[in-house]
Amino acid sequence: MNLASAELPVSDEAADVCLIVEGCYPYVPGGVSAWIDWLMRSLPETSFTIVALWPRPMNFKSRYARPGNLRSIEHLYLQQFGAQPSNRAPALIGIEHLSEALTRLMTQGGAAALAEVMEELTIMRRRISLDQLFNSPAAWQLVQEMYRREMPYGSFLHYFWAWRALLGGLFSVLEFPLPKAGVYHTISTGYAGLFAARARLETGRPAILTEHGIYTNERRIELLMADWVADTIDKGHALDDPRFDLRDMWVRAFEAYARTCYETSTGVITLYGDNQGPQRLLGAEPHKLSVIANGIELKRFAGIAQAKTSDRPTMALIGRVVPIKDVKTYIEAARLLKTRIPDLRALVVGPTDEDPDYYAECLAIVAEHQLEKTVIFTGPVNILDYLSSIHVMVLTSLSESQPLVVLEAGAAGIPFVSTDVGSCREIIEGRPDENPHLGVGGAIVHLADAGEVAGAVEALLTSGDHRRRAGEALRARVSAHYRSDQAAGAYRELYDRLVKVPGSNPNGAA
Amino acid sequence: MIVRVQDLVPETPLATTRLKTLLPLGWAPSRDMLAAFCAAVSELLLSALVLSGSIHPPAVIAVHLAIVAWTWLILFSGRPASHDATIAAVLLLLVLVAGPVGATAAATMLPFAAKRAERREILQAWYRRIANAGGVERATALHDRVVAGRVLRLDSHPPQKFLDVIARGSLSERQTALGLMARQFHPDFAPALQAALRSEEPVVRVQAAAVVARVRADIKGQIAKLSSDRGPKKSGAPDRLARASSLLALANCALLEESDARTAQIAAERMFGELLASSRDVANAAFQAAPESADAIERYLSDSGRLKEFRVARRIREIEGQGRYRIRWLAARSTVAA
Repeated sequence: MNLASAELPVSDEAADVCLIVEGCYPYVPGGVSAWIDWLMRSLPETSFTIVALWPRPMNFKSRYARPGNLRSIEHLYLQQFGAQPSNRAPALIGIEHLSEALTRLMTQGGAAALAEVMEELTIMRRRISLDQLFNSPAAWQLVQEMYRREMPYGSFLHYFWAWRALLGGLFSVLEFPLPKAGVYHTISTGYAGLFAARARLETGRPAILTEHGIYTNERRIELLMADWVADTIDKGHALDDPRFDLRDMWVRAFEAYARTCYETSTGVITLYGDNQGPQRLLGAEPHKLSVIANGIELKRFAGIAQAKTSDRPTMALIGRVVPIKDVKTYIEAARLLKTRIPDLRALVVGPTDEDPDYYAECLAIVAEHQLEKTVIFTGPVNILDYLSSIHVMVLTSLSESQPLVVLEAGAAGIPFVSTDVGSCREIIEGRPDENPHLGVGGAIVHLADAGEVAGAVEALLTSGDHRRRAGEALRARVSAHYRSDQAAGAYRELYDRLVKVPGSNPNGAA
Repeated sequence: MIVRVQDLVPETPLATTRLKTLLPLGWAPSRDMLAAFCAAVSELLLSALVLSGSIHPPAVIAVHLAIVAWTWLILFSGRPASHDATIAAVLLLLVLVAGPVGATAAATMLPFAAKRAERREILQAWYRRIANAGGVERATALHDRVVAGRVLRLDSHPPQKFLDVIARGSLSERQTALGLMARQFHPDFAPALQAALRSEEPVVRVQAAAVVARVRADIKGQIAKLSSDRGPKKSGAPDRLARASSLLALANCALLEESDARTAQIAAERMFGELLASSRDVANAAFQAAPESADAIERYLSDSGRLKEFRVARRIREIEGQGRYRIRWLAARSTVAA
């Protein structure tokens, strides 16, 4: 990872945009990383700098070639905070004020709470550096104060370590040098969002947020299911027990950080409308919300011929063979369909090496049902070579954000059957406010319901008219709303407007 | 994004390994007392010699320094680095600065300090207790939890049905319920999870999907564990029946992938078959042990068309409540096991 730092030295000159990313670009391919790469390449006239947040240094290699307009990548490690423990730190007056401010930031959040913490820490820094403070007797005093305020009946030992993790991340974010930029653009809430909020307060420059998934919700799901978070209070199965425990503490902190980010952001962007509900619930003001959907380059799919009715009936799932894609439900749907359409071909187009055990299980199911001639795993291929032989595309995923494969199918005029995840419904059926309504581009089915998948695919495979109408509707919608140039144009316009916002000189920041 | 909250938590498990740093440092009172006693005796002898005028001042200093060096040797030679050297250092300083007075004072006071050190065990136990380390008595741990207010509230409302929560609960309640279902999954939660998968609320659907993914993986592990041939052979019939019943419940759980459900079903049938074939008493023992096992056996016998055995089993069960003697009498004639 440090290799990239060496390749991209820190620039003294202010970039137009500082992207703040957590756990992705440039080391993890696909998803948000691919989007960041696309964004920078689509706006060559805009200069970028990146602050990449990671828990600690990892041995990852950069997976993306550096775009010419990327000036620097700086790494912020969330769990490497704090000097060597020392008893020599001076006794601090006013630790209770800091404790109050931190408690407010970690429980309620908001710009005022963050500003208060930053102010208290500025006062503290006159006597002790933040990394010394974190491992000093004063920190011990601080944790006790906060424990007494937050969960005096809980396990102190567990609280202590959770506090260390939460505050270590927070202090890292508040201590890291701010790169100079005209706009601070965070790709999630959480610590990245806090960093953008701090930049907004410290420099006066605008901050914006683009959420692909709802970060707070993802963290909440992770925390509510996590076994590593100890339940120090026995609540049984009661849902209304008001006693506060560690799990609540973590969830509440991430919610508070999200509120802080939403409040300080000039604009809160997401990929699809369904995401705006949770954003509003977490306090994002409606006038700040907007949707900029991801797009694709239509010309790549322009010359692709439609599969003929006389061709072997073919459905395809394009994606990695991993549990989250629920390939087994797809295979089960293929089994059900084969009884009705004997010469069915069910392609699984995508890499099979990410989860070999799962792939082996899929193969076993295929063998068990003697579907070897029906279900075909192609491995990683160029999907353009396959699109002209596919009648219906299928997505059985348990979770998605805005899957590009739906857009690609739409660009090729292939109808789509998808589970009700992410923005699939919006792409296939259209947004409620779509005017004029362009028609339904396939079908939306419930999660993990092979029978419903089979029924929807059968309806499309057995009716050429229905299939053509759905394919054309999807193509029309993708052409109208999901073009790459539209998305890039929206960001260009946004950046242009915000970089020109009067305020602190970006070159004077940091 | 691949940063999970878990990645942000320092790798500092709340385990006994941390206890080392919490425990008071070791002290060797016997060694220190021996050194103090020897130093006191030597210094007093030296004082006597000085008072009798039989030793010259330069020699007094030399002997005094020799006593200090000797005391140092006793105190520190071979002493483990981890042991607390505070008292030894104070003792040495007293001997060096105050000669016979210091040595005598140290020798007099050390037994009191040693007595205090006996409390180290109590302190250790206390440290273990507050560190949540293993070995704390259950009664003590429970007492601590009651005092701290961490136990289940007996006056709280009875838990709501998860299916009702998913249908009518607030978003927060639904999310908490889904979290509980993930962490403490039971096949009976399957309808609630299925309802959540079909929720109108996207946030709930997404979480339900995550729970299903996790539950499927967990169940797969459970099936492998329950159907493993290693454990059951050692365990008794009631335990094997309970395992078979659990397998059957998992097999019927609607959330399971078809292949896993089949694996569980086959394993459960194999276990029931083995148990019922092994001896008559096994079946009877099971009926007496757990009603769920009896349910599962009846279901198994009914599903597999062994209706005669089913009727006998049902009869045994009906009579079971009327007294042990009659069950034994019937058991001898039972045809439950072929």
